[in-house]
Amino acid sequence: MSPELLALFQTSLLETLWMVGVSGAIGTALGLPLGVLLVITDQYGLLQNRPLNRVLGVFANAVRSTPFIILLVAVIPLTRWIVGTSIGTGAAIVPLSIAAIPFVARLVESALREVDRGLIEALQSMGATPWQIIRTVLIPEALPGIVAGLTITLVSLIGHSAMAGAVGGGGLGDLGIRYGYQRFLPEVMALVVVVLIVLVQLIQSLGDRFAQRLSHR
Amino acid sequence: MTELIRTLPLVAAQGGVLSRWLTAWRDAGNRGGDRSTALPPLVRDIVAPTAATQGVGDVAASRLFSLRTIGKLFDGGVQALDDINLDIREGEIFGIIGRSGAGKSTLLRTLNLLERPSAGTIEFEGRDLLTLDAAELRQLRRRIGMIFQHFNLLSSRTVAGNIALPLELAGVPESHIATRVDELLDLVGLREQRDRYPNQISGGQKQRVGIARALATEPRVLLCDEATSALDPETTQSILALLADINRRLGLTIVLITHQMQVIKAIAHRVAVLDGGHLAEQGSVGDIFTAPTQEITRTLLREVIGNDIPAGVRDRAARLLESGEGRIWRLSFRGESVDRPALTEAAERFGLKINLLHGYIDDIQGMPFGSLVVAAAGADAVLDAAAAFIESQDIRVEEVVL
Ligand SMILES: Nc1ncnc2c1ncn2[C@@H]1O[C@H](COP(=O)(O)OP(=O)(O)OP(=O)(O)O)[C@@H](O)[C@H]1O
Ligand SMILES: [Mg+2]
Repeated sequence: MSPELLALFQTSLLETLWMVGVSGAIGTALGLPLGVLLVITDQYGLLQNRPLNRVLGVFANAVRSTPFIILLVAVIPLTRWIVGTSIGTGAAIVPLSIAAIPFVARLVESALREVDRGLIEALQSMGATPWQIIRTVLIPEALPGIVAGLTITLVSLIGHSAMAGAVGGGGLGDLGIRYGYQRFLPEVMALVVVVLIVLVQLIQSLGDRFAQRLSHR
Repeated sequence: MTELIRTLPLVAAQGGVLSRWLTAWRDAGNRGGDRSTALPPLVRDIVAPTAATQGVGDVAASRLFSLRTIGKLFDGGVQALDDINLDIREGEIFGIIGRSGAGKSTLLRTLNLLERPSAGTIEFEGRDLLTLDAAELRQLRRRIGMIFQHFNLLSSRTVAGNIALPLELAGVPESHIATRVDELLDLVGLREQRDRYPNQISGGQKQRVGIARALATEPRVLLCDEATSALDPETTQSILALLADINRRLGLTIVLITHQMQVIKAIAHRVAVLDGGHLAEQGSVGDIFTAPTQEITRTLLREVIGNDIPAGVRDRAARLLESGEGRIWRLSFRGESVDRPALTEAAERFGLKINLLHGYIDDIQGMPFGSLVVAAAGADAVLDAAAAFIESQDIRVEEVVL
């Protein structure tokens, strides 16, 4: 492999890590509260609010059922408004984040639902406020599940980021398509695939180990 | 504990008295000695009159909870509670028994408004609970501790972290929390386990953590929903001993639900019997256990007070009846009547032949009581007179129809 190609490869790897890292962080920052809201506004929730719950649920489902490649194009006006351009790595982060938010939210939601109702009652019997219950019971007790959910999110973001080439986002997937497929360089394609496999493997086992360490069940 | 400090500003001002006392108490217990001597004199004087053993018999004893015409209709249309009237007195251990689904948990949970009744009023320390706003209710719940069948400990926190939780929620400064947690660990005998996680300790130890956690904010009352149901008999005994100890030493009121009648028999002072959401009867454990007036109570108590006549004994009684004139009586006696030689006297006075078939004598919290099943042979008129005589000796006579 030529030095230029190697440099290109390095750039692409960094682009992928950048896109996945930033959209993962944004997805977590907004998806976590959304997941909490989905749980507490539900029937019998701490702060029951059926209309809000319905609206949030519909939003999450709508985003999650839109194929990513369509989402990528559909949010271009929003991307342009936020990033100032609709092309490049930065621009790819917007649709990736938007896809990640409801993804994280649903995974967080199901982790939170696993928390024993008895624990919430115990806290209520101690005179805890709803916010205290969220902070001291719901999230800490669901943390292993939340970490597992975030791991899944990162892995699927890596998959989604391969489509970022459609908006000039770069990244490993884009490299594989442009050089490996369009220019018939099978060794580039192979390397891209191997690196992606290693990356996913790494994220998964780190996530698993972290979740395991957090869990005292 | 709160009360001690409130009523004893002098002692409290000396600082650390409570913890010294708790330590002394534990040490005395560990030596197998009498813990009451470990109490500092001032505390002993204050504790003694409010202690359950003395206050409970008084009708005048102050009410901690007053429930009037409490009803609970669940959304699905289940009437879980209906017209419940009862008082829970300061310093007593109050038991709630009943079949599964009778409404016991619902009743207990109305006491701290985890369940809001759909009818009636609840007063706690003379305050109407149902008129409190959310913040006032949270404040008040710190004075009502609760423990659970499945412990409900946070798996993400250590033993010490679980016990510290209610203190953190109440905004107690960290330095105070540390000392208080140590006191509580000593109180429940879990000093060694302080840094373990709940999945690393036994069920009995988990319930001790639950108790320590519930006591952290120095509540006036401890609500227990089947607190020993998930434990083996031996561990149950040790948890009961701890609860009884806390009740006696700290004057803490305890309300407990159980399916184990031995638990009531062992530590409760008064008991309420629920049946289909209604209060079937209530009274002192001595009265209810020895002279239940309701069928449901008799059914529930069958296991502890052997009212059933074994089949073999029945057959023997039937044969005796066939062979001549006579009746089968069940004689129930309690209290002082146990000591009267009424049966011998009746036999002598009326010339009865009495054949003992079955019987036992037991003791419920110092009150002896028992039941004898006898075959009494004699003419009808004689038997009637004898029965009247025995009744006059405070012994209940029931004819058993085979
Ligand atoms: N949240 C609820 N919604 C509807 N019905 C309920 C609810 N909680 C309890 N019930 C019903 O109320 C009745 C009393 O229930 P409760 O849990 O108080 O019984 P219990 O005496 O504690 O029974 P167990 O001994 O089995 O614990 C039952 O018929 C139960 O099905
Ligand atoms: Mg129950």
